[in-house]
Amino acid sequence: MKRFHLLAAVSLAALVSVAAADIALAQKTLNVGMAAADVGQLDPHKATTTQDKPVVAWIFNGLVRLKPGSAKLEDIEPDLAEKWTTSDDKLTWTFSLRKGVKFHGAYGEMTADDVVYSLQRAGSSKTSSFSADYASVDKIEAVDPSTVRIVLKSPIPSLLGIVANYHGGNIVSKKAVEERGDNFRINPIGTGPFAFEGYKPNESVTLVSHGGYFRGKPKIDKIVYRFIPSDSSRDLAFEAGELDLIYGRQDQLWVDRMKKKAGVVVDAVPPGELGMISLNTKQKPLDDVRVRRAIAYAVDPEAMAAHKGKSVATAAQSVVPIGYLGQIQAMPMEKRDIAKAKALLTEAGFPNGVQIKSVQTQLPTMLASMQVVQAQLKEAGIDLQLEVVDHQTFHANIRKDLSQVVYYAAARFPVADVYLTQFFHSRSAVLQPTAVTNFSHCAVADAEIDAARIASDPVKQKELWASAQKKISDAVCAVPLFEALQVWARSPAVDYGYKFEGALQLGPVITELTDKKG
Amino acid sequence: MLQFIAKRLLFAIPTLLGVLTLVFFLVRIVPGDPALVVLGDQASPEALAALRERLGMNKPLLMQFGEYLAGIAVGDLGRSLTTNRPVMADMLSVLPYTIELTLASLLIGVVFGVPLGVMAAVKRNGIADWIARIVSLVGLSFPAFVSGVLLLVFFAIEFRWFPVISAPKSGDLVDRLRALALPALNLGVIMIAYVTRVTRSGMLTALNEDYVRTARAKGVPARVVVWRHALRNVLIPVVTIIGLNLGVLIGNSVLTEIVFSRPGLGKIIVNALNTRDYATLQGMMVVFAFAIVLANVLTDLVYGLVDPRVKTS
Repeated sequence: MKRFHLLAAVSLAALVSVAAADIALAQKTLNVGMAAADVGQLDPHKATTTQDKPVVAWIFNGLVRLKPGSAKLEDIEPDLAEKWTTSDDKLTWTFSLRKGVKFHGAYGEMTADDVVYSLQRAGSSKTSSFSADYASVDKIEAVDPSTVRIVLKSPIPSLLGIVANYHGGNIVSKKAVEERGDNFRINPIGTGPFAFEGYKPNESVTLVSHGGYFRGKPKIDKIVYRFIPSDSSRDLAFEAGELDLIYGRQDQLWVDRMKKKAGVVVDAVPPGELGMISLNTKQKPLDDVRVRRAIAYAVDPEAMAAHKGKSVATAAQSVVPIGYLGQIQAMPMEKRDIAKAKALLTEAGFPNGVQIKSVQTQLPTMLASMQVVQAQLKEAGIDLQLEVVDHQTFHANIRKDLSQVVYYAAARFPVADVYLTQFFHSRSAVLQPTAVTNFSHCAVADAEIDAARIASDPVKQKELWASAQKKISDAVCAVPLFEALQVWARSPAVDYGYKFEGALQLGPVITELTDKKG
Repeated sequence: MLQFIAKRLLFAIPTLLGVLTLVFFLVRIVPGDPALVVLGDQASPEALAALRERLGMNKPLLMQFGEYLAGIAVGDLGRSLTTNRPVMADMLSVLPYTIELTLASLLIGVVFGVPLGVMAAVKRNGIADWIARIVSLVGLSFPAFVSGVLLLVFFAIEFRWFPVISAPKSGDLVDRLRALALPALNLGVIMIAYVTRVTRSGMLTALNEDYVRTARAKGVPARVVVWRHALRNVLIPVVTIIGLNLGVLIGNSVLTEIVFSRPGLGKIIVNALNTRDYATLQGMMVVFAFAIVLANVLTDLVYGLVDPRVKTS
C-alpha cells in the first residue's frame, strides 16, 4: 500500500511538473539579438547608445509618444497625458495625466509628482545626458495629482519632443530612483508594457510583460535581449530560429541575402544617421576655405551611398539629416568635380596637392567609409592620412582637437535646431567647457541658430534654419556624405501590431500589441 | 605537499602585484574616458566632470591606486564604472563558464592529442602520422573565430545538433553540455595540435632509447613498450606544454566566447577595455593572472605524479 502511495505521489509530481513545463513552454518569448557586447545602461535619462535606446522604449512611457512605427513629429499622440493645453504665447503647457497608470512591481500609481521629478531630473546636467534640451524650461510643477504645468522662459521648436517617450521625456518612478540610486542604471522602474527582470553581464537583459500596463497586458510574455557582437553569429542564430528579431547590417548585400530566406522581413527605416566629415577650420591648411571647398568637390556622396546600397543609404542633402523639421532639401551642394578641386588647391597655394591628417576609429563600418573618402580625395591630389585607433581613443582624441578631419555619423531628435546647435554652434566647439560635437569650430551661423530657437513664427523659424544651413555649407565647415538607415530583420512569426516605418529609439517599439505567432 | 602549495601561492603575490600595478597604470595612460562611455556623446562637459568626480577619477593616481589595493586586501574588487555592479559578482557569475570551457578543451586536447601523437610516432611517415601532422597544422593555423563559425555552420545550422547561442538556458546538465560542446571542441582542436606535436616528437626520441630496445629484446609486447615504457617518459614535456598552453587557451577563449555568444571572463575583459571600465578590467586581469599562477602550481604537482624522481618538498 505504502509503495502504491509513493508511486501515486511520484506520478502526480511528474504530471504537475510536465504541466508546469507545458505552461512554461506556452510562454511567448521574443528573442532579440543586438550588435553590442553589453548593455550601456537602462536609466532613460542617460541611455544614449544604440543598444540601450530600444530597451528603454519598451520599459518607459512619456507624457506623449511618437506613434509606434513612426519617427515623424507630426505623429505624436497622447501617452501618459490624456490631453494638454497651451497658452497663447506658447510659454505655458498644461498636461492632464491619465489616471490609474501603474509602475512596475510594487511602485504603485504614477502621479504628477513622478512626472515633475522625472522632467526636472532630465533637465539637470547632474542626472541627465539630455539636460541641454531643457535649457528653456523655467519651471515644472504639479498643479494637482493628475495635472502638470510646464512654464518656459522662451518658446522652443518642439516642446512635445522633450516630453515624448524619447531621451529625457521618459517618466521614471521617483520612489524607485531614490531607493535604488546608482543601481537604477541596471534596475529601472517605468510604466511601460515590459518590466525589467534580470541582467547577465555581457550576455542578456530580460524583460517580462507588465500585467498592469494601462493599455492592456502585452501579448508577448517575455523579451530576452541578447548581446551578440559578432555579426556572423547573430545571423546564424537568427537562421537557426534562436532569435526572432535581429539588428541588421547597413549593407545592401546583407539585406539581399536576408530577404532570400523564406518569410524573413527586413526593415530599413529612418531616422538615418547622417555621416559627415567635419573640417577643422582652425588648423592649416583647412583654415583656407578654398582647401575645404576642394575637399567638397573631391568627394562623391552619391557614390558613397551607392557603395552602401540603395535600400540602406541615401546621399546627404544638407548638413541636417533628411526629414528633420527645418531641413532644406534643395540645398545647393558641390557636385563632384576633380578639375575644380585641383584648381582650388592651386589657387590656395598647393599646386602639388595637400596632406591632411585624420584620427579614425577602427570600427569596421566607419573605417570603411573613411577609406572610400580617402580614395576619392586622392584623385584630386589630397592625401588623407588615417591614424587608426580604437573607438574610445578616437572619441577622446577628436575632442582634444587632434584630428583635422573628423568623420562622425549621428541621428538626433528630428528638429534642425538640435543638429545645428550640437555640430555647428560655436558654443559647442571642442576644447571649451560647453563643448559638444562641433569639431570644425564652425561659428558662421550662431545668430541664425539662436534666433530660430526662440522664433515664435514657424515660417520665420524655418527661414532662419535654412539660412544657417546655407551659411554652414558656404563656409564648408563640414561635408555631408550619406545617411544610413536603421536595419532590422524579423522572422515571419513576429507581428509588431503596427507598420514599422521608423523609430527614434533606433529599434522597433515592442508594444502590448506585438505578437509572436506559432 | 601542502607546504609546497602554500609556498608557491605566496610567491604568486608579487606576481599579482606586478600585474595589478602594470594594468592599473597602463589602462590610464591609454586615451579614453569612462564618463563619456557612461553618459554618451551628447552629455555636457559639466555632467562628464561631475561623473568623473563621483567615480573618483579626479583624485591623484597614487591615491586611487592605494585605495584600490586596500580594497583588494579585503577582497573587494570595486564596482564597474559603467554598470555600477560589484566586479566580484560579475566575475563569479561567469567564472563557472570559463572554468568548464577551459577544462573541457584541455580534456579534449589530452584525450585525442596523446594517442594521436603516439600513433604518429609509432607509424612514422605512415598514414596515421600524416593525419596527425595535418590535424595539428590545421589546429595551429586556423584562427579560433574562423573555425568557430565553421563549426556553427555545420553542427548548429546544417545538422542542428547544437545551439548557435552557446549560453546555457537552464542549469540542466544536458543543456549545459550541449551549450559547451562546440566551444570546447573549437578550443580543444588547438590543444590537440600542441599535445600531438609534443607527444610525437617526445615519442620519436624515446622509441630510440636503449631501454626501449632492451625491453623489445626481452620480448615485451610492442603495446606495452609503447604505452607503458616509452609514453611514461614523454609525459613530462606533455604536462609542461599543457600548463604553458593554458595561457594560449585563455587568450583564444575570448574569440571563442564572442563567436559562440557564450558568457566568460575573456568577453568581459575585452568589453571592459573597449568601454574603459578600469575597475572591471583590473579585477578580471587579477583573476586571469591568478589562474595562470595556479595552473603553473598544478603543473608542478602533476610532475610529481608522472615522474617519481620529481620531489615537491
